[in-house]
Amino acid sequence: MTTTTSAAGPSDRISAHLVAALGENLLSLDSPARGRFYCDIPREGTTAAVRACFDGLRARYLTSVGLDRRGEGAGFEVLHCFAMDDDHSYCALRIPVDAERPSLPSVTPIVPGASWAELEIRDLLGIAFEGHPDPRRLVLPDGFPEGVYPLRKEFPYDAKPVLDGPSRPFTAPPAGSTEVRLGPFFPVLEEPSQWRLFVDGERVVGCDYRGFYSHRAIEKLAEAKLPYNQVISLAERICGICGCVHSTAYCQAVEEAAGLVVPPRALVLRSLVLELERVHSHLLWLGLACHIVGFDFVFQQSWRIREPVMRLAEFLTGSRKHYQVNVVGGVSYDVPREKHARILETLDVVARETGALVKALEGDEALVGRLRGVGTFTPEEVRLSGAVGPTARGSGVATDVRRDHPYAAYDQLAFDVVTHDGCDNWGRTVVRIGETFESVKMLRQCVALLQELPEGDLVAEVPERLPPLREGMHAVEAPRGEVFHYVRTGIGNGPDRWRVRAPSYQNIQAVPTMLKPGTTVADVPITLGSVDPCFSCTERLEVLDTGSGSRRVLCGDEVRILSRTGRMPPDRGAR
Amino acid sequence: MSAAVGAVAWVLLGPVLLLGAGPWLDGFGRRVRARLEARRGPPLLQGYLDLAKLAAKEEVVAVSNPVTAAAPWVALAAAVTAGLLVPLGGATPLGFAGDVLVLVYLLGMSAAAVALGGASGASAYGLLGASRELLLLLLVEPVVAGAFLVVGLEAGTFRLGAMAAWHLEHGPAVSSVLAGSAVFLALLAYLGRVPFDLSEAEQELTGGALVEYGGRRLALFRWALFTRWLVAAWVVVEVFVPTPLRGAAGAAATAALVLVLFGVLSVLSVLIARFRIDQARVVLAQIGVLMVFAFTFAVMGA
Amino acid sequence: MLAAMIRQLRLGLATDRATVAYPFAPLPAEPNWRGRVVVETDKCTGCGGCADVCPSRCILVTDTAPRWRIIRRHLDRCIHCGRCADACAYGSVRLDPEYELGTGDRGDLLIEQRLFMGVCDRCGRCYVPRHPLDRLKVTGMRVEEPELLTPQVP
Repeated sequence: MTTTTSAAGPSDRISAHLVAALGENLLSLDSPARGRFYCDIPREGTTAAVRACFDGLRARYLTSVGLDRRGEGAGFEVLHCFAMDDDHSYCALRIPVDAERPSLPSVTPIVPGASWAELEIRDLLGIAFEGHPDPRRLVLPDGFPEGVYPLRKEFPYDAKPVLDGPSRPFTAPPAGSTEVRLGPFFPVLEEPSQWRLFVDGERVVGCDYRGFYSHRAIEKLAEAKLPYNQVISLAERICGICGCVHSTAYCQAVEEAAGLVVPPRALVLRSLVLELERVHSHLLWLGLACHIVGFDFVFQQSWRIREPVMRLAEFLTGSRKHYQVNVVGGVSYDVPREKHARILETLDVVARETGALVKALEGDEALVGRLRGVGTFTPEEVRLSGAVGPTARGSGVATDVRRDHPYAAYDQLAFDVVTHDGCDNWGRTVVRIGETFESVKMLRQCVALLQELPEGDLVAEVPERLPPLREGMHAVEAPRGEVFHYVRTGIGNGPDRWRVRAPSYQNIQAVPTMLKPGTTVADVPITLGSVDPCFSCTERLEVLDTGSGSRRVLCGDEVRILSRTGRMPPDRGAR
Repeated sequence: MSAAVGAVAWVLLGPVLLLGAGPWLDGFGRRVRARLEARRGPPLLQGYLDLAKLAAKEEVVAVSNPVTAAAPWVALAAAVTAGLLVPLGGATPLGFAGDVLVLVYLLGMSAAAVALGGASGASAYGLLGASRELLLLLLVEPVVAGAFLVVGLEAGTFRLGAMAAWHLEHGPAVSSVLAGSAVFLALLAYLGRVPFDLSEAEQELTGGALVEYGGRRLALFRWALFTRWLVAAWVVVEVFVPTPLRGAAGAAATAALVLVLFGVLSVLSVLIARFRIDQARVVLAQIGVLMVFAFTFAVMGA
Repeated sequence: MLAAMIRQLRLGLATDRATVAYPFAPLPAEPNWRGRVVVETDKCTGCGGCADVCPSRCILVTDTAPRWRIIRRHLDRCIHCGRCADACAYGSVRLDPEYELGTGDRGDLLIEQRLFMGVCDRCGRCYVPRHPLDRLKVTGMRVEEPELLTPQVP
């Protein structure tokens, strides 16, 4: 067993823990950057190693990444990534997969939150996961041919296979219940997802989720076509609300892989923009959650309060949402002193009005009655599902990337991690409201920091070519939770592999767990809403022309046929 | 002779007035709501514009059977017929003994037609919405009917015009105040507005009982709903807060009070989050208890 | 509950209406809003740097007859990232704070430039002479428009 470390001190201790925990399953340990550990595990040791990390070390599950390394003379590879929050580290278990007969034992029985990640690797790279509890197709659309794996290197990013393959079977409702189908055009969130609720009267007795309707070939596009700095524009458009978190996490991962050091002023600017995004996202969520329970008063008022924040973002960045602030190595523009006054004024107004709105909601039994005791989610369920962000903090689990794995300028900012022990929709609501005020506090500190720091470099010295085939893992605390990016630099001017794990990827998987016995149909939309789902963040991996994939299900009359008769409509063939 | 002429005139003119005024109430309610939500809101004529737009749309029909075809018409006809029984400016051209019960029945029939329409479609949402609508009806009808029964017991008559006149003459009594309060609290449920709009909760059921309807039939259902609002609010005002004025002045006075009542209901509608069915049951049960008290007092003669 | 409702009522009545009169009154964007791409064609030298950095590949550079370069900017694909403006070494591209870009005619969103370029003696391809005086010379030698092949735009 070989160990290579490039930093002394704490890394030695963490390495020693890993070595002790993984024992004979560890072939070698590599630590290319501080707080990053890549452990080579043999195929037979997969389940034992995962168990050692998840149950033994109580590491938090992040995601699993599949790589196609056949072009380098290796086979496939799967990385199971974990976070050791107390040690401010990430560790990835690297497991080789045979190129001819790619398969691995599934770790979903140990880590339920790994379910989707494994199915995604199976759908897109063709690696089978033995023992997976629900091996139905997840990501690829109905009709996608068997044996065609889009994320393999030989598959051209713009290929359009004919959809004459198998469809995903539906699970049958339990005896005595009827099925109520919410979606694929989901009534509230107006993003495509399908929740098949099995109901007995108003009570929900089971639930089957189908998603991945809005895939857009993002990971494949980045690998196949885009140079590093253009991926940033793509990353920013992964999500319709929180784009900057993705571009920042991506840049951080690339910077880690390439060993770039971002100048201090750029770090503060990144924090500034990220917290601004959090404020407007949480206010949006508050309004949307109240809209879901028919309380439009808060919906309209919170979005009114939020509007100056959007105008402020426009003033600072040139866009309400697509800030285009990040470049690999730093940021592309500054926020000069003359703009600071408006930031502080806007923050004052927003803090005051949000405070007034929250005060007006105190003691509103109708609202609290819809949220309290609904969507219960225990801390152990948080751990098993890998849920993050306010979804986890609303159950008292204090995980926050800004504190546990500081990035940008967060090590210089003073803030509290807001948690609530309610373990229900109400707890998650309180957490988000509290975080809005914390963000305002942090924004004021960022402005103060900007005034102290000299106006100077905004971008690090970036070499002509980034070092190839190096890995970086980084995360950002998005409004919805931890956004985790993994980047492997390529031999050209772009990434070889880019994996995006949005917080909603884990949080949405947790929603069926929150629909405990006794939940009524009325509680389902607000429970889903309480995790602040972002379907566009979650579903960014597909290689087809999305139109032909999702048109199959989203087409008006086909949706009608499906939802009225419960049968898949006949395939009309290629469009 | 003139009574017969009056009745015929009323049968011809009444529906026009009812159908014409209902949609305006929708626009008014939406403006009130917008004021609290920091918005300007749609024009006051928006109700009419919506109906016109819906009427012009093509209908896409999933399941067609006599019930889905007839339900919208039944809902509208029942609501309008109920409206014909309501006193206007002190006159009741079509009044007869027991007409208050017929009115309550007709309004209930209108709501039930919505439920039946929803249940006869092909959608699970429709079924859920229909079941919620019927459950609400079961919980609210007794309160509304009970309120009129209380006044009727006091007045010794179940004829609307006479009940209003008696109330005007004798002033409020404990029982009628309690009954009036109960019916006021229940009106939001009776009118199917937030927080009691569970049967159509767009966010939960994509439209509930009305999910399958579009175009002209949806326009008819909406019109029936507006008419129900108008009729229910008007009859409650006539019986519990009658005006001494007669004729056109009386009609105007009642109209003003109806606006005030509807405005207050709209404000309440904005400020309370939608109830779940179990929560609605609890609230309506509490109102039912109030009604029981009112009954007790009425029976005791107070 | 009643206290909360009263507080909410007061809040609702105290807030001004946020409805704006747009589109019946103008609603300007902030001054540095990244909106419509505007090209000052007399500053553009046809270097194609903008085309290299555009993430949505909406700038297409085609060399047609010798010395003629056609640059097409398909603004219907533009994502308003502003990289073309950042990349332009001659300051000819900017993004104006105009956001009302909807149109029924796609041609409104196409900027097409035809530039007369220098030609490399060795490979014959169009290029931008490095020295400004050389660039002037090239422009001065322009002849009447030659037959242009219709470029095959993918």
